[in-house]
Amino acid sequence: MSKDNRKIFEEARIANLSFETRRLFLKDCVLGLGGLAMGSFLSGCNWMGAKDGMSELFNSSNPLLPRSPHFPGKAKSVIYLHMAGAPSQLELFDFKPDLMKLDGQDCPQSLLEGKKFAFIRGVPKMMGPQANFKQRGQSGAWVSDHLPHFATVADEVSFLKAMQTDQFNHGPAQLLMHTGTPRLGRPSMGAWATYGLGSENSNLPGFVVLTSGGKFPDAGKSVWGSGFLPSVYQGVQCRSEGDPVLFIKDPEGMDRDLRKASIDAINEANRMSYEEFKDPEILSRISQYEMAYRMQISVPDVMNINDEPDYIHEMYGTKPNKACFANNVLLARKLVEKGVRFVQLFDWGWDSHGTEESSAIDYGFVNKCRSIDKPMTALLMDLKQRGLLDETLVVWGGEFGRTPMQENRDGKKMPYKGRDHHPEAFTMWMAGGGIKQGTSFGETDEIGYAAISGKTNAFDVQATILNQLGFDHEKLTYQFQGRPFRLTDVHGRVINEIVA
Amino acid sequence: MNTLIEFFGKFHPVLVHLPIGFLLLALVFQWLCRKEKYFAILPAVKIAFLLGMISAIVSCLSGWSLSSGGEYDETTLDYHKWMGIGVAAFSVVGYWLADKPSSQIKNILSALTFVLIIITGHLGGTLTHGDGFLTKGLFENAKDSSKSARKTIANVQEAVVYTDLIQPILTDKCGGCHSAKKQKGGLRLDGQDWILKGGKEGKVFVSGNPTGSELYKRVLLDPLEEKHMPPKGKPQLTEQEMNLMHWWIESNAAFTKKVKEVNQPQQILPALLAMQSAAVSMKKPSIPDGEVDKVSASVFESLRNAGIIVLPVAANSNYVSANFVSIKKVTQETVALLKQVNKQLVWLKLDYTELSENSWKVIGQCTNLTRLSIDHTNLTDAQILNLTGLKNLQYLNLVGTKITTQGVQQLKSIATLENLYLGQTSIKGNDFINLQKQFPKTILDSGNYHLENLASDTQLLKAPPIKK
Repeated sequence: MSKDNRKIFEEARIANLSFETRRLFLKDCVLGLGGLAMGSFLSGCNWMGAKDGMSELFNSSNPLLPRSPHFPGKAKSVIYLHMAGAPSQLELFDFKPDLMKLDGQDCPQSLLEGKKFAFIRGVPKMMGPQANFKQRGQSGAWVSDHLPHFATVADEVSFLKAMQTDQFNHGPAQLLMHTGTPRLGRPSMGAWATYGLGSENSNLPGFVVLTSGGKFPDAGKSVWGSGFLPSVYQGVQCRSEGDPVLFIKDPEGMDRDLRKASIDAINEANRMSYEEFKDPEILSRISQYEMAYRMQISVPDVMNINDEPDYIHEMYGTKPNKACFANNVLLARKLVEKGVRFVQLFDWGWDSHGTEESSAIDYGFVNKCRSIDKPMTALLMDLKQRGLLDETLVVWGGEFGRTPMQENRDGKKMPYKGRDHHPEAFTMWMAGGGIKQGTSFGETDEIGYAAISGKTNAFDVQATILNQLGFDHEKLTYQFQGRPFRLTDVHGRVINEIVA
Repeated sequence: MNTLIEFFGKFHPVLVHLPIGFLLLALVFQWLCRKEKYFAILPAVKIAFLLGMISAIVSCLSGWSLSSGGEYDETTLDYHKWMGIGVAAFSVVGYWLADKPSSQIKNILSALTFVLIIITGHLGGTLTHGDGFLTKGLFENAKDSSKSARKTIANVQEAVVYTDLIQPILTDKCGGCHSAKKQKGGLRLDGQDWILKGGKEGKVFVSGNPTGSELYKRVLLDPLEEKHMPPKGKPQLTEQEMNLMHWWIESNAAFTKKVKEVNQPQQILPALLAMQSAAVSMKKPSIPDGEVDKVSASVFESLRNAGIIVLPVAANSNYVSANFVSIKKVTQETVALLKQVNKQLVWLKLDYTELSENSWKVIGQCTNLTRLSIDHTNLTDAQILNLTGLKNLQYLNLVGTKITTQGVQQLKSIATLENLYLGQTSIKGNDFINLQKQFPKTILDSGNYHLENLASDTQLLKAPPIKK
């Protein structure tokens, strides 16, 4: 290139730069934004239609309006019994006679290499099953003597014996189980279900949470949160002691008419601001106020288990006016009968490390089993005799399993027998709602250390639950941060082996 | 040598992109250099055509060796082949004409080359991705996989194992890649001769030896394994279908034997029975097969305004479900609204209500009902006569009603009934057992379950104090 040419280029470049004005910059920005907006007009790869009727799920003026799923679901509601702390599969369902033979011996090095445990340090001892097992019913499912009532209904359920997770701490593992990620911020399964189906009873929330055992699950309220979904889909936590929902009673001196008048006034003011700003969230707020007003009557009604006949109380083994698992399970049945979609129960106290008597695998753990055995069996029987088991999916499980080794916290012998957290194998069961009766899927090795076949994980369970409700878990999505999100992210397989 | 040629053929899908690119570039340059501004790129046209010509010929050769594998639909392949050769021929002409002055003929030839490249490319795509790959999912909903529900068999013992039980599975789950249209791995599974012949890697069917038969072995492989069939993402065989297939091979049923002529082990009976009983497992849950008109928006509106939760059972279904759970006091007028959807209504929940004589009549007119919950209502034996016309009913919940044995016997005419719930009624003990005998196909639930009181239910285990 000659010198002259170079000069000309330089001149041209400077001339060009002078056009890079602030106005031009703004114009570019506008075009860029337009391009981004274009993306949402074309809405992904499916822009030529392929309407599945689910495109506009969120109706801001009535977010809980009942909606149809992708295909006719076999289950209309879900009752999820989460045993927070992770119960030991080795004392309940996963019978390992070979582990008994190793009882008291040092754990082989091959099982410890490259593995991380929450509390086990050094070389722990193996610990045989601390329970007697029998095969039950026609299906021959192994259930230990810790659950004598449940053993009689083993033919009703499908076991998942090779569940796995990749989290070995309670909080993240619970989040993974319920929200599809070990980190905070995603909507819970119940929120997704309510987002997809709405609430069948316009006087009750679609997603109710009940807790027992004295503490909340370690992951806190996020396990029933709504994440990035509109907040109306989060779980409504009810209590089985005192007022079912905090502040549900009108304050002293305020009667029902005055309450109505004040809510009307607030709604009127909200409606005016809607006229002005047209923000759909305001409509959502109005409908929330109206629902809260209706719930003041309907919730105490449905949450009152005292009206149930005596034989039901006896069947469930309830304890009047106390917060306990039995009362919660009975409530769950009542709520499902009234059209609530998703009832989530958490029962705390299953973290059997053996640090104290209440967490000893041969004391505290046995007492925990006794506290759930009759209620959860009664739940299955009661749903069945009401013709509801058919359309209600019951899920039972913890967030991970427990080690076949005895815990030796900090490398020392502990005062009681206990087992450490173990993500590589645990057992869950499902019943009703179109799940096969009396089957078992998945296997663990001879000592219950690792899953060897029919492995399943939290995503598979989530996909299966959504499938039973009538959803393709890959298509139930919500647009957030520029991309559609789903409960199972990029994972999940419907466990067809246990679907009837 | 042959394997070398075959290896070369595998590069065809990569190589074809070269002539497409070079020739399109040549055509664009040729068109551009008619303008004075771009006259300088004229020499590049000739070079682009030369490269296009060479790569087109190489593509043709590799394509020819790939096609000799014989896995493709023949008519499409023929068109693709000749048009590909056409493109190569045109590129030779184009190369020769490149430095000749612009003329009408040259323009026409260029246009033809362009069209030919597009069509050949598309045909090539059709060969690898399958017919209609371009427009799939563009205009239609994702195909409903349950649409291909199979024919039911009146008497499964009389059915021919291969023709009636196995071939439908093969057609459904394997036909996409292994049939007249396409023969991946040189394998066809749409007829006896083809199955016996096997594929490129040898025999797939060894009668009497399921685990030695590739046909069954591939299905069993881990789904993530590359050799697993059907491939990942395609509809998989159900457990029942796998059982049938295993049994078919193991029992030496071959291609002509009838079900009754072969040994039937205990495990296969449920699968066989399922083929017979109206293909229950293939059907969607309790939805009739026929088509009905869509419920109009105004009808939906009127029902919803009355407080009835009414909505389609699925997003793409015209059948609806109705639930009265939100209504405090159900009146005769509200129930009468159901008349507007009496053909579409399949699931109805009216539990815990007091209904009038007229209301029972309205329910009796909803003849497509498959699930009906009228537990804890004022139903008596007199009113149940209204319901005997519900010929599609599968689930009926009569818990907590005043129904008696005589009343339930009226329901015998409903052949489809699968589940009948009779808890908390006066029907107990021997009455119930007799009743069950009269309903051989229906599962009757007597309710009144009790759990024993065990001492351990309320006792707490205490550990002995630890000696320090």
